[in-house]
Amino acid sequence: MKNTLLKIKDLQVVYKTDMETVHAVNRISFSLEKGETIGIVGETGAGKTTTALSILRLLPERTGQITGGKITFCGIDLIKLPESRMRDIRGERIAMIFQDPMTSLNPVFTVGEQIAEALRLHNSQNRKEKQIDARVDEVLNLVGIPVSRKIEYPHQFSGGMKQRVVIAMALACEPDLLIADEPTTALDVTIQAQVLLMIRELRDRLGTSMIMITHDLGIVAQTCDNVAVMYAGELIEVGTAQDIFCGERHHPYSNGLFGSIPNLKEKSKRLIPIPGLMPDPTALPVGCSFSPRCRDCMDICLTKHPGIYSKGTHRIQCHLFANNPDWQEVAES
Amino acid sequence: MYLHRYIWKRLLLLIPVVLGVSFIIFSILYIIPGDPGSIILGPGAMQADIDKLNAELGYNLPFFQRYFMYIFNAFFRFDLGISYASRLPVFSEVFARLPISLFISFNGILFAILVGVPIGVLSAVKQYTLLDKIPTAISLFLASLPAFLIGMVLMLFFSLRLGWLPSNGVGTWKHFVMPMFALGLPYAAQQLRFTRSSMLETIRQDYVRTARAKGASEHNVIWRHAMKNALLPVITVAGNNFGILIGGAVVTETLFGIPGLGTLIVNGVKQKDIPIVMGGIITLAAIFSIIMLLVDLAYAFVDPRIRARYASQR
Amino acid sequence: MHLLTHVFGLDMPARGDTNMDRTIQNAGELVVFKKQSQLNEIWRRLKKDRLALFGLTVIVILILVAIFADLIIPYSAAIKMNLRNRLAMPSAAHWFGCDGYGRDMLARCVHGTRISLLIGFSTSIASLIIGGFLGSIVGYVGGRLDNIVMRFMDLFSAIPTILLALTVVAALGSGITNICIAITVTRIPGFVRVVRSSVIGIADMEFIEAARAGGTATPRILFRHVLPNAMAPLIVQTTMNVSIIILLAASLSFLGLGVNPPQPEWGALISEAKEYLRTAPHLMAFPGILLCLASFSMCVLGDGLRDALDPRLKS
Repeated sequence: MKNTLLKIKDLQVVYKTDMETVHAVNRISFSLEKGETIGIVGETGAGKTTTALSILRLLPERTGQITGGKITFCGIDLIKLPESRMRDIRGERIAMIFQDPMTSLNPVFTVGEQIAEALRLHNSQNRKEKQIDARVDEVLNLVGIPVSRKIEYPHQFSGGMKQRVVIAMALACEPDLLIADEPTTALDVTIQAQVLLMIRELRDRLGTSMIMITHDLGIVAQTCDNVAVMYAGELIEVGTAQDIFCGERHHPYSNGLFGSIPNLKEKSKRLIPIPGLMPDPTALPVGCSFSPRCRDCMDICLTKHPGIYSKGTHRIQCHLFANNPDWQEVAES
Repeated sequence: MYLHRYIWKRLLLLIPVVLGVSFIIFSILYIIPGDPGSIILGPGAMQADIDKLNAELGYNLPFFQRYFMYIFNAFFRFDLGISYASRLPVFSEVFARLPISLFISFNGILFAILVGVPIGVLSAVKQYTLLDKIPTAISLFLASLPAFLIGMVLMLFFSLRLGWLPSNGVGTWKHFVMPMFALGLPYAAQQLRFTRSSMLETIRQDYVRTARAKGASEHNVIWRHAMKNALLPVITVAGNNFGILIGGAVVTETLFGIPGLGTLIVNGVKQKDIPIVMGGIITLAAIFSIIMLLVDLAYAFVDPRIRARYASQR
Repeated sequence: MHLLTHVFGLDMPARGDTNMDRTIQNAGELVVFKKQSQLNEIWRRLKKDRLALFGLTVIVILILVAIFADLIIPYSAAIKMNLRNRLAMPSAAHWFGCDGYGRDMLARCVHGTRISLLIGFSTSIASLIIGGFLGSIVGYVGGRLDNIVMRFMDLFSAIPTILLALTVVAALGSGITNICIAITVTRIPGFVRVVRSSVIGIADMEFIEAARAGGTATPRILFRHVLPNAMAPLIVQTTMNVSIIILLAASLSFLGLGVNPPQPEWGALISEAKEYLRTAPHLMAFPGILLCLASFSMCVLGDGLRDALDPRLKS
């Protein structure tokens, strides 16, 4: 309880345009303890990035709205926080790194300047210029970039190096929570491995909690303590890495995800993809949102929204577990 | 600074451009029927005199020779020929009137930039509100108005009806107010539109989102992160549009009776005074090229991507 | 080998009644249907832009006035002088009043519309043809020719537009045909660039694909695919240019170097009005409003077309 860093309950987010309302996040709940890492996995369009942006309240002003739920960070209600205090939290206590390093850095400022800015914006310790400079050097060392390069501009760095700069910028103020939105997707595979390794080391060294958003189960396996599987704006399965990767039973979607990954050890003729596409977020199906694509779909799946059933740390949202004695239904408050 | 190479490179490029431009103008004017002798001496002159004058002026020489003679005279002897109409050296006529024309043009640009750019930024930042819709509508309208029409409307109200400003000639600062507005307004409207779209595009960039995620305030995000990026293309476009402004200046001078280079050229065209036309237009075109060069250099100074490229070539 | 021709050629009937033939025929119909609905889609998008629609309406009205000018009011009324009516105010007899020579302003404005629009559209189309021709050759051939021609075009662009036009007018003299030529010269580089970039962009894609398809690349196939893609920027360029040309012609006429008197043209009319600005401002107002309307309408129409034709908006 005391160590709970982040607690999200029944979060609902929509994007409203003149023509339609997109239901991006539909009542998700999860929590993160201090020092832990949770991976949010899902296809493109599942609502992962929206969740991350909601935590930091960075949704597009005109269209994005949090329509329900609660986000608590170290006991602070983030949704009700006034903007000025939210700004204090952004960058200093919760930091976020985005997917494409090529465009995440401002081309007209030096790399050192951009990192220093993160420090200056949150100068609660009243550091002097010299101290800020020293900290910039320190953090560049941390990510493996030669300090002499801090006067260079972003376009002079390669993709992998740019992402390191972005990570350095995020960690400069020693945040409690780091949200990484597909940090390695835009990089070459070999660079991916390097950056992931670095993230892992930093996390171990600094004790930063992390939310890792990705569509790659491999990355989740390597870096995360807990896993949450997201589909059509809902968390259909949550658990520890052990539960998800070694557990016996899973949500049909998760089974589909694992089934569609090629296995080096087995011999198989074809990969088994999940048929169909994710539902249109402006017109979600009644009942279970995965029902159109589910092999094990029952009649009740088409009419009633499934409840959440848990077994220890493992939670699954599916009617298949309703009558299973091992799984208890979680009461929704 | 490290930009020496770039500066030299661009300066060197200026020479072929000016030569090329003068070649085009020379060639176009070459096809004019009628020889200078007849034009200068007028009808009723003796054929022998006409022939003598033509020979003097080099009329019978082949095209390229005439061209090179002209260029040589222009750049090394500052001799642009003699005006058919006034018999005075073209060079002195042109350069006597150049300052006033440049003054008016720069007034126009200054006005346009000082008005167009800030309102364009404001319009972009306050998108979807009235502060955006009104300037956008007005600038759309103004951008398709010719300078002379604006000038005449201004003249009607401020000169003839209200009597606040003089409508003709030069003399006091008051004489330059209406020309500045007439020239500057359409250009300001264009600058506004372009600045606005550049700013809107910049605000959508990823690095702006990164800045917000770092905890920067809206104010910081716009004035520090977005502005510098958004204004880069605005500089280039401002330079490009300067050419249109020079054209507008010619008409504005005529409207307001200002004895500048524009009126000189227009009268030259009417009187078939080729040396004046050639000298005047080539001078203005050359100045335009120099302005473009300066704009390019300014851009290079400001954009670190270009700076770094030339720095690393040391 | 015939599959491609069937699908894109659309002129060979299905041979038999097999599934394959039916599929081919359906695919052919699909292509036709797609093109038809594309045009509808573009029109629908344009309709949504009310400003562009306004521009279109205004310009259509002006074009009709220009075409039927003689029916509305005879040309003779535009040039007949009647010093008794000098500077007459708008009245029942003379809706727009009379100018300094007693000529009916309505007549002069109506025929001025014809002349100004004639200059605007014909010059734009002439520049389109010449610039387009040059641009497509240069874009297709590439290499040295491309380099030389484009450097030349850059030089032309380095001369401020009015000055270039004045140069040509100095060489040829004034008058309608001459200013059309003068303005065409200034507009050509723009068209060359647009067409050239379209050709380069498309030649890259289509030629390679067509070559791989086994030599079925008839020019007809290329035209069906090259043309729609190249048309969009060209249409926009032509439309925007009409606005610029009308203003340019008006400026030249204002300077006294445009159409020859007594021909009415908006710029010339405004120039004539200058003398009487204090006493008879209506002489400037009517042609001025017409000039604004025409230029503004073509401008917003061009803007609207650009948005409506933007492939990125294709759903």
